[in-house]
Amino acid sequence: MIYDIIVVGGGPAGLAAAVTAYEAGVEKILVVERDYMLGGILNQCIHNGFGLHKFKEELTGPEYSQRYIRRLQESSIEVATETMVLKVTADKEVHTLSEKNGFQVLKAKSVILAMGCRERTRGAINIAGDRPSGVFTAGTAQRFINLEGFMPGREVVILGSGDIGLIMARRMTLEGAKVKGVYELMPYSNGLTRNIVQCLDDFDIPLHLSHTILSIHGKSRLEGVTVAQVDENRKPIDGTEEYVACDTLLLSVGLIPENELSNQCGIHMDPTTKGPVVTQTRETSVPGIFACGNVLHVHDLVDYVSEEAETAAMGAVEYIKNASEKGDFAKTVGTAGITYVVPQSVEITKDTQRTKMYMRVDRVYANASIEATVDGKVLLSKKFERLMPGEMASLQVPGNVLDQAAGKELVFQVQGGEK
Amino acid sequence: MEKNFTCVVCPIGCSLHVKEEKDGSIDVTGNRCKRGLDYGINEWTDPRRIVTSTIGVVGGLEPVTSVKTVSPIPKGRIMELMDMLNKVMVEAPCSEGMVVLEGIFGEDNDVVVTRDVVKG
Repeated sequence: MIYDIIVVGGGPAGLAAAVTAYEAGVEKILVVERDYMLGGILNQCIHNGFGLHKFKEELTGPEYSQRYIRRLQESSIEVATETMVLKVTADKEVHTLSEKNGFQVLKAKSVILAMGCRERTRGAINIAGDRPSGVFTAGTAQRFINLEGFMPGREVVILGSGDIGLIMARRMTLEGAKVKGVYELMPYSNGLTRNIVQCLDDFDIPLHLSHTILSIHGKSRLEGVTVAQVDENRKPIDGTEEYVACDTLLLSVGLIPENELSNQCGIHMDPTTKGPVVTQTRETSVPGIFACGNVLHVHDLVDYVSEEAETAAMGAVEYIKNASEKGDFAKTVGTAGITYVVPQSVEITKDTQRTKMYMRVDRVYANASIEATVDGKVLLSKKFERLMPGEMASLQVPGNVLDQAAGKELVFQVQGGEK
Repeated sequence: MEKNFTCVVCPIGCSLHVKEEKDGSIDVTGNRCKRGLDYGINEWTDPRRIVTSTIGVVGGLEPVTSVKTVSPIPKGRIMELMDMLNKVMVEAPCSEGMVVLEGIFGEDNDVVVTRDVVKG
């Protein structure tokens, strides 16, 4: 049996990709998920704020995933849960392992990679000190509280002001813990402004910018951490050390796309996004293998993940039908304030549609523009009231601009803007 | 009297400037949509929040399920609601939309389940 499409991962990206391909007429689709249920990390994201773009209403994570799971259940899409994908090959074989079916090699005409991302841990940022229990990533604590019904601690320090850290500051406060502070290395928060307001300000939780944790103390259970202020080079400033007693440290220090399978498959990777290099259909450097969602680049809103998954699914559908036209590529490049652009290239054919480019900036800008240039000529400019690294920016590039970039570089840059 | 707020209605997070005129009317600027206007007025007069949390489940595949208030509750009563929620237990199976607390704080506001839990 050859599947038309195998989707690796049953989180928001995988669900949206499978449902979209099915609704576009593809029948033999399989979603492979390693957990026992579909929905991925959305299941533990019980807070609201999801779906405003996609559904024009405010949903919680489980409600958002449930909408896709229902559509999937009404379809003939096959689902293999508690199944681990061990390997994806360039000729589109998917090697799986499960208790029920053992080791299997499944074949597909097209593969969509939707493995999501994982959190950076203490090991990734190398904090000195003892190795007691009580040090968790924010997402692990979220899973304990919201799915497994355990409370990880009572007196909490949070390192990193990413959205998960902010949301867990509120969550732990609601459950009766005392959150002593959120410490952020950078001079700005990496979370959405709305989360600073409703997760920290609402509960009087202090946010310490330009701070880091120097050391962790405690033999068996965490007893405290040493924090310090950092200078503009992110080096601790002598004399600013302070001991903060706590029994729990939550780390919210960044997410990394989970690309072991992509690497093993020989897919070209982007060192900045840490995800595959893709075209506007989200096709990777291996023909017929597509990638979407947080495995491609880390998104701040699930709505964008779903949108991107739809794009990847339609790319896979066209690939199966062999309908994709061949054309010149335009390479997208981010410079002067733009840290990355996805997709990394656009295939220009005679009827290239306008294409949405996602990008991130290197610091906070007020009243700036993002410009798209070809050969130094500005072809497009969009104004932004505020640009910040924590919030993804997007730009719709019309077909006629893309045409002019065929075989060249389409360069994006930040223009103007106050600090 | 005037004050700046960050709108929390959606992830855009508009910077709102709210000003109360001498005649008592409230003027909101900086919002990009009607919901932001309403938020600005509410934040000035009666700040409210949607609250999401978990409740215990007996006999479910998971020991807890998630819940939310259907509409925002007064900000000052959030911990009061948490105390109420800590005493609520439901029996599996339970599904999205099931009402677990009705008309909280004497208002037309329910707490509903947001995640299905099947029998364990």
